[in-house]
Formats: sequence, structure tokens, C-alpha cells
Amino acid sequence: MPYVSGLQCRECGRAYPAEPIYVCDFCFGPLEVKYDFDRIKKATSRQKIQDGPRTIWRYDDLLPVSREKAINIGAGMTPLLKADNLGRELGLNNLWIKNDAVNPTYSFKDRVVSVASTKALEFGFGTLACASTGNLAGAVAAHGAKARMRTLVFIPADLETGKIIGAAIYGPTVVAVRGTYDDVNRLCSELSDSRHWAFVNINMRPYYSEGSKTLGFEVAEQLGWKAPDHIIVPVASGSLLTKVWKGLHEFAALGLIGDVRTRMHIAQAAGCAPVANAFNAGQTHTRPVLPKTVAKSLAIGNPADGYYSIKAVRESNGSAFAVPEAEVADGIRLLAQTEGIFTETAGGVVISTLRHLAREGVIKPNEQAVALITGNGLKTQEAVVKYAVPLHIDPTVESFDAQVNGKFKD
Amino acid sequence: MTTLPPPCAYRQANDAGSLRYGDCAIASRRITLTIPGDLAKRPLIYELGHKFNVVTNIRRADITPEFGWAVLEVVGDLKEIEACIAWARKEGATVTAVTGDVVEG
Repeated sequence: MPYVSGLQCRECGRAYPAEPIYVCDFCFGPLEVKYDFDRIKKATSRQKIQDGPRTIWRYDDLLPVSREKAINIGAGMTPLLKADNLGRELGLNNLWIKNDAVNPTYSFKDRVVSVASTKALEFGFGTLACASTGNLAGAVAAHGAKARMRTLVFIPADLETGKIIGAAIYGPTVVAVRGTYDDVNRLCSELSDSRHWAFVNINMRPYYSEGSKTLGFEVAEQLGWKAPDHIIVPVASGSLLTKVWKGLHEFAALGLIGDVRTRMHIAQAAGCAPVANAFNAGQTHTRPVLPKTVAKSLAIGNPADGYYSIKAVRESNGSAFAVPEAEVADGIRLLAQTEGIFTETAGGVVISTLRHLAREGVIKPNEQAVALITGNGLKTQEAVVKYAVPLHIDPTVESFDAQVNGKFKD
Repeated sequence: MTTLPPPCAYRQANDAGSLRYGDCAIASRRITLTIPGDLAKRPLIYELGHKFNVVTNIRRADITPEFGWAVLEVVGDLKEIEACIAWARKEGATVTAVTGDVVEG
């Protein structure tokens, strides 16, 4: 880690060494990685990045660990696609979709876990762990397998079989906890304090979260080294939004892109919208809620980065929207039927938020907007089962024609 | 009621997460208390320290007319800490770990 100068508390500014710690001893604020930007400025350039691997590791000058021994299963450099059909539908002429649904384990979590697992090995941990109901579990299990680390994934005992398979196939120990989400939260916090394990989003969190910056880096690079006018981000803990924002500003500070005038927009589902609610109420801090949403990957009732994401959105003159639950599936359908991209419920929340922003005139027709699609639709098929309505016919042309009422005569 | 350990024991508990002192297991928990505005007038944290055999140490806090929050450490016997958290919830406060939810989608 040549350019990491240590950790720093995001609240009181106290400095700490770069160790697997995550909370300030003084004020209990979260710790964040600090970099020596003077040295990075001399070391990095657009050309150097472009010459790097076609993964998140092309940006390792701005990550807390070097790519030399990266636990790499190919996360990153996902497609950024111009969405002309969806744009036409919404009245937007410069709309782009960043499709992180095609990462190795089909969500953006591969980015953060690639960084966390690499750092965990550097610290000498032998065990990788997480608590998750879906995407994170799969990413941790896969990277744990690649790293040849003992891996534990803690899940609520009532998790759907499909989601369990998505992690179990990589061979971790899957621990199904009988209890509420609160119980799983508490247990994993206690285990992370008492065991010498690398819990990717607990004691490794300062390093883990840095991986999200690569989404912002890629958007800027793929747009021709510029930041867009708008980015719509699905918000669970708030970490992704804050790090994308941070990443764009790091690029600007290094002279890789021009000034950042991007407006950041929070996308949450109404059944779990603590960040959107606080933002729209003019508050700085979120109030914990009990999640009741179809968007399970966004179901974090007490978001660790809620305050910071509200702050980033206010600084950017952005906005926040809580999508009605009934519109989440329609967002998935709309993206699939216009751009051929099948996203999970978090993506449905993003597209429905995008539609709202276009209708309200928050995004102007010629402004460049990027919607972050963070997970694959195959993971949440149950949310869109109502769209699976095949025609049932007998094996005759007459039966077919009768069903389609002359629609396909040509 | 278990005798409260001396202050040095709390510092050790802070460092170690938990240890034993006499008959009780000294533990420390770092929590965020979120309270609705109407509860802000009540000295809830003072009551925690008096109703239960725990030591509270506030690190950050803010109170607004709509709601208040406080980040604090609670040190004492583990069962007392769990009881005081249950009591605070019953009185209308939301009690969460300072780290936020760690179960991610």
C-alpha cells in the first residue's frame, strides 16, 4: 500500500495507523483511509490507468492495497451503455446505464470485497466473514474461495434457498442464525470484536468501502474523463453513494477530470427509506426504521453512512426519492423492455427514481445522467414473476394464430 | 446488586471488549440512542445509569426539536447492559450499534 498514510476519523479527525480497525476510540466515529495525494499525483495518469488491467485494479493507486497480490476474479470495468430507448421513453437524450449486474458474482459487491479480501490477506487474517442476505454473501464466498481463506457467511435462518445457494456453492460455512435481523447484527458485531476474523464490512470496513470508488472512477473514465451531470444511486448503507462522490472528487483533485458538478440522487424504496426521508425532511441524521420492502438488497434500516450520504447529496445539490413499493417491479420491467438489461429490485428502484426525476424536470432532457445498476435480476426473480405470462397453445398453426389474433401474420 | 468495579476495570473492558471482575463479566457496548423529540426533555441517560448498574459515557450527541441522538459507551455487567438496552427501547428510544446495520443485502 504505497500511498496510504493511515486512517482518520470522519467525525473528529483523529489519526490512526492503517490497521484492521474501524471505529474511533475517542468519539466512536467511523474511520476512513487517508492517502498521500502528493505522491499519487506524481505516480498516476490517465495513460497509466488506461494501460492497467481491465478490472478495478487499474485504479490501485487510489485503493488501500496494491494489485500485486489482489484477490481478483474479474470485478469491474463493467459496461457503460447509452440508453437511447429508455431515454426516449423518459424524455432524456443523454442517458447512460452503468451495468454492474454483470460482475463475476452479479453485483457491485465484487468491487468492495475484492479490495477487502486482498487487504485481509495482507493483514494476515486466515478467515473472511460477513453477514448478508444476498449479494455480499455471494461476493465474499467467491473471493474467499479464490483467496483460499476459511470463509463464514452469516444469514438469517429464514433466507430464501436461492440466495443461500448463491453463496453456498463457493464452499463457505453458511451459518443460519435463528433470530431477527437485529440478532444477526448484534451477533456479528460481537464476533468481530472477539475473533481474529476479517469481517469485510465491520473491522475491514474502511478498506472495504474504498472499492466503491471504482464505480465512480469507471463512469468518469468511460465517459471520456469527465463527470456526468447526474448520477442516480441506490442507497442501502449509503456507503456506495458517498464513495462514488469521493472518487469523482479524488479524480478531479488529481487533475484526471475537470471540476465535478455532478448532482447525486438517492434512490430508495418507500418500505425502507431512512436516508431519503431524512433528506427530504431537511434533517442531517437518519432515524432507524424497520425495513419492509421488496428491495431486499436495500433493506438497511440503520444505515451506517446515512449522515454522510445526506451530506454528499446536499453538497451536490442533488435529491432523494422513495419509490412506492408497487413501482419497483415496474422499474425492472421498464429497463428490461427498453435496454435488454435485467436488474434486481435495487435497479428497479433506481429506474423508477430516474423516471420520477425526469418527470419532475430535475434531470433536463440534454443533461448527461448515469443510472447505477448494481445487481442482477436473476437474484430477485420472485419480484417480477407477474410478468412471466406465456401464451399457451396447442401444437398447431391454427391454435397459434387463434391465440395471437392475427398479430404475427407476416 | 453487584458492586460497581473501579474505574480502571472499565478502561480494561474498553480495550478487551469484556473481562471478568469479581462475580460479574464486565463488558462494554458502543451504542447509538435515537429518541423522538418529546423524549428529549427526559434525562434518559441519567436514568440508565441510576436504574441499572452501568456506567455511561457520552462521546457525541445532538438534540433537535424533532429527535435526538447520542453515541455512548455503556460499561458494566453484560446482563445489566442488556437489561438497560431493553428498558431504553421500552421507554421509546431506538438503540443500535454505532456501526449501523452490518447485515447487508
